[in-house]
Formats: sequence, C-alpha cells, structure tokens
Amino acid sequence: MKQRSRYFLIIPPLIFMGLFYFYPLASIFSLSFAPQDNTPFKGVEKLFSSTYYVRVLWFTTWQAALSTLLTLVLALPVAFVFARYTFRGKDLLLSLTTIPFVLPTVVTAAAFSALLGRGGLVNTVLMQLFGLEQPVFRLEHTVWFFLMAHVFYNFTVVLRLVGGFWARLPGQVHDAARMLGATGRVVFLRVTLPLLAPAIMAASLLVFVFCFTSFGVVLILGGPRLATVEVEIFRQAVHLFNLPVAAALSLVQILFTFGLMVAYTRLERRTSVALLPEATPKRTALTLGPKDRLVINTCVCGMAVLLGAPLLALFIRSILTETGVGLTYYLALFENRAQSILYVAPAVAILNSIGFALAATLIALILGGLSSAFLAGAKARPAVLLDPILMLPLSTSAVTLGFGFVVALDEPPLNLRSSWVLPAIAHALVALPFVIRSVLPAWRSIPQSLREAAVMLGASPWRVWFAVDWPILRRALMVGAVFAFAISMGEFGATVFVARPQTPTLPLAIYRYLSHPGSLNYGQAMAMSCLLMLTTGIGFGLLEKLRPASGNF
Amino acid sequence: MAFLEIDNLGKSFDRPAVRDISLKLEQGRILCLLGPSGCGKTTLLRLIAGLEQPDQGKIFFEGRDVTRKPVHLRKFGMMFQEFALFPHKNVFDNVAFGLQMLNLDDARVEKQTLAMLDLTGLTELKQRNVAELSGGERQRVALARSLAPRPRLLMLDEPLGSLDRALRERLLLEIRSILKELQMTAIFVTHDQSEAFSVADDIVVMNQGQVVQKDTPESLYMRPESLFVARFLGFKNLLPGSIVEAGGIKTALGTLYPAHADVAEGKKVTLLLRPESARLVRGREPDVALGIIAGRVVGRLFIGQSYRVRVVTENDTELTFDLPNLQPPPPVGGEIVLQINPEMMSLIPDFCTSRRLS
Repeated sequence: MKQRSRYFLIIPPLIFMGLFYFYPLASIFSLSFAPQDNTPFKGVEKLFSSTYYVRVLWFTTWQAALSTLLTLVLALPVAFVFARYTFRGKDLLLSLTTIPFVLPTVVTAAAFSALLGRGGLVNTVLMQLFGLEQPVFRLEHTVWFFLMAHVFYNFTVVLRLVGGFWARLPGQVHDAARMLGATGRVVFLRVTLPLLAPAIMAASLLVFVFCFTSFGVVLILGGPRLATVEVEIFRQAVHLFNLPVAAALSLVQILFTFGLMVAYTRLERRTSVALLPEATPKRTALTLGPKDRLVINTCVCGMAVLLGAPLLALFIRSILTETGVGLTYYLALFENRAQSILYVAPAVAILNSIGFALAATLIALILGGLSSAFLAGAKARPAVLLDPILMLPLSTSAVTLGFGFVVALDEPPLNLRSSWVLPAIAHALVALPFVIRSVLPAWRSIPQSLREAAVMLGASPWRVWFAVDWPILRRALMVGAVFAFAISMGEFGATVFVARPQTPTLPLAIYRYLSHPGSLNYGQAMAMSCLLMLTTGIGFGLLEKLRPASGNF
Repeated sequence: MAFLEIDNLGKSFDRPAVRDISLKLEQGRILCLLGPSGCGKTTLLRLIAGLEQPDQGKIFFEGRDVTRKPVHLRKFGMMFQEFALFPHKNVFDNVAFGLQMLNLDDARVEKQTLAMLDLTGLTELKQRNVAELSGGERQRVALARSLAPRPRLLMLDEPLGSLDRALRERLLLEIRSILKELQMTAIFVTHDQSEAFSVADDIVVMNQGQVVQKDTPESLYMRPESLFVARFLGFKNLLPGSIVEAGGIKTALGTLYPAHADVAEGKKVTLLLRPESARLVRGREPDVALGIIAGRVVGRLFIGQSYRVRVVTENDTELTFDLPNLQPPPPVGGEIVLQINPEMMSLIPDFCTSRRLS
C-alpha cells in the first residue's frame, strides 16, 4: 500500500482519540485553571491552600511505595524458583497467577472482604472455634486491608516480568563467571542482580503506577477516612460536586502517572534490547534434590495461600447462606424484589455489562486493527510518534478518564451524557492500547518475503492478504478481543462516572450491594462477584491458549 | 604424570552422554575434541571444567584428583559458544572480571587487563559496550577474558561456530598463535574438521559419547581407523574388500595394491581412495593392478584449485576425485582413464557393507 493512502487508516483512531481522550482531558485542564467566584485558578489554588490534599497525595505515594515493596519481597523469591526449576504444573500455576491481575478490582475487594472482613470467613471460623465475642482481625478501614489486595493482584506482574527475564538470562554467562573464579554469591551479586536490575525496576514502576492509581479496592476496603488521589477525585466530583478541585487533582494525577509511564517505557526498552545478541539459553534439566523439592513446595503452598485463599473465600461466602449451604444468593439475583431499594434487577446489570462489553470490543477491535495496520507498515518516524499517543489511555487513570467524560461530554457541542454508548466508548478507550499491543507484534512479525513469495506465485493482493496476513492476524485479533471484552466486563473507575443510574454494569451493581447493609445484599454481591470472576477466568483461560507462551505483557 | 588425565569418565542425562572416556593431555599442547553434534564433546568439556559432575570416573590435574573441586577454584578458563560476554559490562570490565576474582589490587588488575587487551588487539575498544561489537570483536573479547587470569588450562567450546567462514579462518590462526605465544594448554571443541586440523596438535574424534580415534591431524587424515572417522572426514571412495595375497586387496574394481597393507590374508577390510589420489592419464590401457582404472564421467565441477569429477567405472562403482586443474578432464559422458597413487590409498580395518552404486 502506498504511504499516502496508508494515512487514511489512522484517521478514524485519531478522531476517536481526539474526541474521547484529548477533548475530555483538555476540559479537565481548563476547568482546573478556570476562574470561579472572581478568583482565577480556583481549583489549583484550593488544592494547595489546604494541607488536606497534600496529605492525600502523600498517603497515595507511600501506600503505593509500600505495596510495591511488599509485592517485591513476596514475588522475587517465587520468580527465582520459577526461573530456576522446571516442575510439573509450573505453566498451569503461572497461568493461574494471572487471574488475580485480570480480576475486576471490585471482585478483588469483595474477595478480601469475604476472607478477612468483619464477617469474613477467617473471623467467623475463629470466633466460632474459640467462642469469641469480637472478630480477631479488624482490618476494615485500615491501610493493610487494601495493601494486601494490592500485593494480591500485582504479584503476577513481578513474577512474569522478572521471572520471565530471569529465565531468559543466558545460563552461559553464569557459567562464564564461575569459570573466571566467582563463587555463587559473587555470581549473584555481580552478574545476576545487575542483569535483572532493569527488569526489577520496570516491574516496580509498573506496580507502583497500578497502586498509585488504585481506585476500586481503596474505595471499598479503605472505608470513608482513607483516600488516595483517585478516590478523592471521585468524592469531590460525585459526592461533593466540587468539580474544580476534582479537575486539579486529576491534573496532578495525570502528570504523575505520565512521568512514571515514560520512565517505564524507557526501562522496558532496555530490558528487551540488552540480551538480544545472546542466543536463547539451553537449560539442562536439573535433577531435583530433597532441598530443591522443599523450596518448590514451600513456594507453591505460599502462592496457593496468598492468591488462592481470597478467591476460595469469595466462592464459599457466595454459597454460605444464613440457613446453610445453598444457592439462595444466586437465585436472588434473578428476582426483582419489590422492596429493593435498588431499582434495577441484577440480571439486568449482567445483560448491560455484556452489551457494553460487546460494543466496546467491536469499537476497540476496529480502531485497534486500523491503528496496527497503519503502525505496522508506517515509516519509522510516524510510527515512533503515533504509537505512544495511542498508548496514552494506558497511562491515564480510569477515574480521570471517566471524570473527563462527565466534564466534557455533557454539554453541546457533544452531549452524550444520557447516551447509552458512553460506557462502551470509555471501555473501548481503555481497551484500545491492549488491542494494539496484541495485534501489532503479530502484524509486524509477518515477514515481507512471505507476501512477496505469495505474489510471485501469482496471488492477487486480496489473496495475499487472505492467505498470508489473515491466518496470522486472526489469532492476535482474538487475543485483543478477549482482552477488550474482559476489560470492559470488569471496568469500574470510569464506569462509575459515565454509566446512567438506570443502566448499571456488573461491577457497579456489586459496589452498590457491598455498600448497602444486610446479609442478602452482601451475599448477592458475593454471588455476582463469583459470576464475574468466572467470566474473566474463562476469558483469560481462552487467552492463555491463544497466546504463544511468553513472559511479557 | 600427565598434565591432565581423565580416567574412565561417564555422565548420563536422559541417555548416556559420555561413556568411559580416558584421555591424557600434555602441558602446552592443544587438544581438539571433534565429532558430530550430540556426540558428547561439549559434555566432556563441561565435565573437565567442573560445570557438570560426572556419574563415574576421575579427573586428575597435575597428579591431583580435582573431580569434586568446585568450578571457581579450578583456575581453568573457558571460552563459550556464543561467547557469553557480560552484557552489562564494557569490554574492559569483561576482561578484568577474572582478575578481580583473584583479589588483585586495582592497579594490577588494570595493568594486566590492558596487557591482555593489547595482546588481542582490543585496546581501542576497551570502553565499548559489548552489544556494539561485531562478531569477530566479540570473539576476541571472549578470548581475552578467558585468558586474562592466566588459566592453567583453557577450554574453547565451539568458539567460532556463529561466525562466517572467512572470518573463522582468520581468527583460527590468530587463536592458535596467541595460545602458542602464551604456551597455553588448551582443549578445543568443534564439529568442523578443517577447524580441528588448523588449530590442534592432537585430535580426539568422538562418537556417541566415546573416543573413536586419537591422533595428530596428519595421521588422522592419512590413516582413519574406522569407517565412522573416514565418513566424518568426508571421504567418499570407500571400497569394501578383502586381502587376497601379499599386499593385494580384492575390491569391486579388481585387485588393488596400496603402498602400506600389512593385514592378514582373508580379512575383510575397506579400502579408501583419497580424493586427491588420482591423476588424469592419456594413452594408457587400464590396469587395475597398476592403479590405472577407466570409467565414464557422470559429474564434473570446477571448484577453483581443482576439478571435482564423479566417475562410474565399468563395474558400476561410483568414485569421486579432485583432479589438478593442470588439464581439464573430459566432459560429462566422456570416457576417462585415471591413475591412482598407491601411497594415497588407506586401509580401514572396518568392513564397509553399504556399497554405493550409481
């Protein structure tokens, strides 16, 4: 295809980005600097006139740092075990660790509440065993509660990034160091660790960004007194309707995460380039001694407790009713109880979610496919320029995006506030980078010589596309579709702003149930969380099958 | 007492990789382990290095048993396949690493590193990142790094495998001259016979985890002791035969008389006619007893220094010879008469069963 006609491909994605990313963001900017009540820069001024917001920012930072540290401490030893040993079920285990990461934050919150909350499984069992009056663990409304949740879903980030990188370190380099007289400790300190450093830094940065922008788990598990920047934006905008302050906070958030993502991209490039000249290492299978077995077993058991227990608790709480084990909560989801204060039946929320997810997937696939087609064939310069722009939604927090939609798209010229498509558009925006990242490498991996060979054998351009490109792209598009669908199903931060009250999604309904008292509400939240967990689990199970094995995101 | 002595060494992974190998290596010599991929040569090297532990057997170095000695205390050096340079260190730091492990003071580390960089012609590249080096430069850094701490024994594991042919030939000579200059004892692993011939003092040919022949390069080429070695060296004219009378060997071509044939009568053997053994002759009647044979040219290839000619003899045996380019051989389909030098016929005690017919 000629370079010029190629640019038609990128026009729709750019229009989409302009309308639904840059325009809302610009609105936030102008709102935070807009004069109000005769004072210029009302929002920004308010932000720095009170120590409260500074404290929020400080709290956000240190909780993210602490979460990152905890995740590293727990995941690095496991990464070592995964890199060093080959054992039965390793691949399966690695796939399973992905579940917490892709689980909607609302479900994670529900799972931790089910395990360690006031009425959670652990407390209930301990109280009954020892006849206690009070629950043993009172973690609700403490920072530890969501710190644990952060470790839970970021564990796999460190494990995959560092473990994958570790396993790909050429084993010969270690042998070389030993031959030159280095002891095991020296090899680790002077060869392994420096080589791993970029991967560890990259993983830490990523985890830090995720924890810094964490919203759902903090909102639900942190209680009313603890707030990160994200939660504060939500409260200021939705509860207090203080839009200038919310806008100013969003601005801070954007600048912060954007800076971190730039640093991450730099590091990521280093981790993938540094080792290229070396061949893939040949691993000789280690014969496992009793000590090795102990290490592996400890690691597997630890992971099972850390990652498995909350999910198991969630499931148990969803079938454990006041009258014993039963499906009451599940059945209640499909009954529209007249006395319910919630005016939408849960079953409707499920249908809403699926509808939004299908629409979002379609939008993200079309735009992502077009973008990839452009980027794969573009000359270096436009690709280098446009690729990061299309990745921007990844580094912008969902709450900021949702808030931007509310600010920008509820008045002419573009009034979509009451339109049902708004959540779908928001989800598509969040999913777009994932679709591009899934499709683009596949598209780039098709060697030009393959197409040339097909042409030389007499295939028309259309036949070439169908015979060469399509079979390779099909898989990648499927991967992108699953990503988009799962992201949309679980999206919470943006949805909480843009969904109309009468069309809530599944995560929104779970949030509502969780924030209302009563064991039936609680049980229904658990049951819905289980359904959502199942959907995501199946989706990503499919993904693991589709995707060629790799240690990357 | 040999410098390095290997006694009855064995190692299995899923299947036996090294089986009952015993070897001796004298100080200052370059030994080459030659064999097809999967023959166990790399495993043997790693066993000697201490990177693998043998299931059985012992390794003696200067008379002392080092079988269980940890790798980093053996003071051996190794140059790896793909070089295994430290990607996070520059050229200087790569070469200095082994010296730093000796706990020398910084000044001495620097002095010796610079000396080694000088010897290998890397002085100008010392600040370079290893990712920015070409294949040949990397190879030199790897050599310099393994030599810098003055190892008592240097091992080279297919150190030129990933380089192109022209570069390989140049570097081989360089490696050999540097090793000889330092009077280094070395073990060199390769699957390429020409590499082995140009670098080694002694060659050990391995197959299926066992040593099949140990010889100098010249003897190995002149007198392969088994069909495996002959075929591995690329010889094609292998004629099954049996000893009939004093020095005569009855083959499909007739009875030939090689220069050295001291095998008992009646024994089944294989006669090897080396490719350079034939000369084009004109105007003489074929006489197998005198080494003069006739045939028809079925293939003719000009390869520069000689013509490679495939000939099918009257009794349907296909032979391949490299003829000097002095005079062009007849075209394909033409009749040809060749004289074979009895000095360039070798007897292999193995009996060749698979006869290649045209």
